[in-house]
Amino acid sequence: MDGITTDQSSPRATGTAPSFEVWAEARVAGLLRFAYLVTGSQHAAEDAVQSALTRACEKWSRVSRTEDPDTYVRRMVVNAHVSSWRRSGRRELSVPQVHDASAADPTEALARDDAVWRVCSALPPQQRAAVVLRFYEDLDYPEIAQVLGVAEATVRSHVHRGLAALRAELSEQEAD
Amino acid sequence: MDDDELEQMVRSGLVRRADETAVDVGLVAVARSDARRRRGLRAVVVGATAAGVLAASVVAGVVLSTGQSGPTAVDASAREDPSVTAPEASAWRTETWGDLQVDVPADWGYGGAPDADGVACFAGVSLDADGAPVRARSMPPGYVGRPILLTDVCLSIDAGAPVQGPYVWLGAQIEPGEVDLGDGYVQQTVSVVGSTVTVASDDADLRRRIIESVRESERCRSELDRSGPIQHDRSENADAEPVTLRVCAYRLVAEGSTVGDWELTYAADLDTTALEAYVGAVAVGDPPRDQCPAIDYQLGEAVVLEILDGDGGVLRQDAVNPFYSCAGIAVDADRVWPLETTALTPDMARPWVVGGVGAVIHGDPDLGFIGPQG
Repeated sequence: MDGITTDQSSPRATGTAPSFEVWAEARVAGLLRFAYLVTGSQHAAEDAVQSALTRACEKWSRVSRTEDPDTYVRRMVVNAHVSSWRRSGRRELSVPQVHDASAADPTEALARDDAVWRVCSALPPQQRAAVVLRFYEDLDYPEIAQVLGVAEATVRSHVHRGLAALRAELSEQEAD
Repeated sequence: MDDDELEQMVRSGLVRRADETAVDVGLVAVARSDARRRRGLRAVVVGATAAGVLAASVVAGVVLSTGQSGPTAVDASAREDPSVTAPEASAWRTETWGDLQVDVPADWGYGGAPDADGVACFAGVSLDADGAPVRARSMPPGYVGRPILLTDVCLSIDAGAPVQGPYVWLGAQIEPGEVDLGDGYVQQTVSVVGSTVTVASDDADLRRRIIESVRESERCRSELDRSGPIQHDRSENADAEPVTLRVCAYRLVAEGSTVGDWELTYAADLDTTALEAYVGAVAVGDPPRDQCPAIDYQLGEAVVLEILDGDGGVLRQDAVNPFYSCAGIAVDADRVWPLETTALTPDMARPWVVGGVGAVIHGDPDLGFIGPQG
């Protein structure tokens, strides 16, 4: 898994703050993957990450000194997406269902992966971000609450609802 | 399928989808470049103020609104009519509500207007034209009312009630048309860009002139997403000098517990003296704090302060959270609900908490606002 996990280059782990360039170059790929899962589009992911990195660069001396830059940037990415989602009139990404055995990904595993993505795409932005942070970034609930700026109970609710939606989708898929 | 299997399925699905992301897109260099440009923009604003090179100013705190943008929807022939006895244009100011603007006599005060239930809180005039509480001996000759809950002193507005003076109500829930209020007073309501303007006066010429000045607003963004961006009309001129401090006040119109948008309740342009005082106070403020108040707190009112160049281009936008006991300001903010704010001080607030700001924002009384009790 290529999430944005905190490692030895974290200023809190080493006691020294890396330059913005060193930190950003090490993280940008993971940030883009995270943003892609949160936003559902390459273009939106690049916009969100670029905006977040710009903000982080502007405030780097303070961001790197006072808080975990990963958390800061993830929060910016999520906020940018939530804002964009509201501004766009809550449009959702349409993800086609895969049922055709002759399709490019005919296996059951691929069909399930598609179901996961279809369910995630239909979740409200903050719920979706909570699911991505939990199951892609492997953050625990308090960490997710810090990124999203919500109560831990809210995060648990988001994740629970996401899993419930997936279970319902799979049941429907099996019934078909 | 048990929970562990379901969670594993989610992990697998997300990893496969994430692997489709193109990651070699050179964002770090772009971000560094953008950050340098934005820092340069802020340096222009702060540097100009520190060096005292702001454009020549007029009296501190004077609202420039009528001078900045004259009426555009007024019938020119009406302006030339010698029978029109309303005050000269220099004695008028522009009031803004959502997407509309209207010109009113500059010495009118501020107050409430009836909401959807026909109730106004406060009913009548509460502040004079400068934003100071009215006293009996200094009662302004008229007022501009908005349907905003200012106090718990509320009155139902009945068409037959005695009228104490002329007024303009912005956004009142009143059907378009005319109502005879007695004693020569007529109340006239027009519908404009999804809202209303109501004018009551015993002077038909005054009513006509006010109604004719109603037009679409180009001052501030009339709506903002709840957590959305606030930037607009950015100046393209890197060498532009800051000239005007624009005040944009918003209220959150809730559609539920987690959604709702910000709607513009008031706007005014202040002169360079006010701008200089404001920027100077912010420049010596404390470092930003994270999430004060906590992000879960439901803000109900906010202010965006725009620093404009001489062409009206926006050089910088600051977001003010006037929340009682935790008021803060985010410099060069990208949204109305910033995560980090500098503590708002009286010196930062004093230059722009003037005019009608106190009629639309409760804020912290220690900072010059009317406070949560109204």
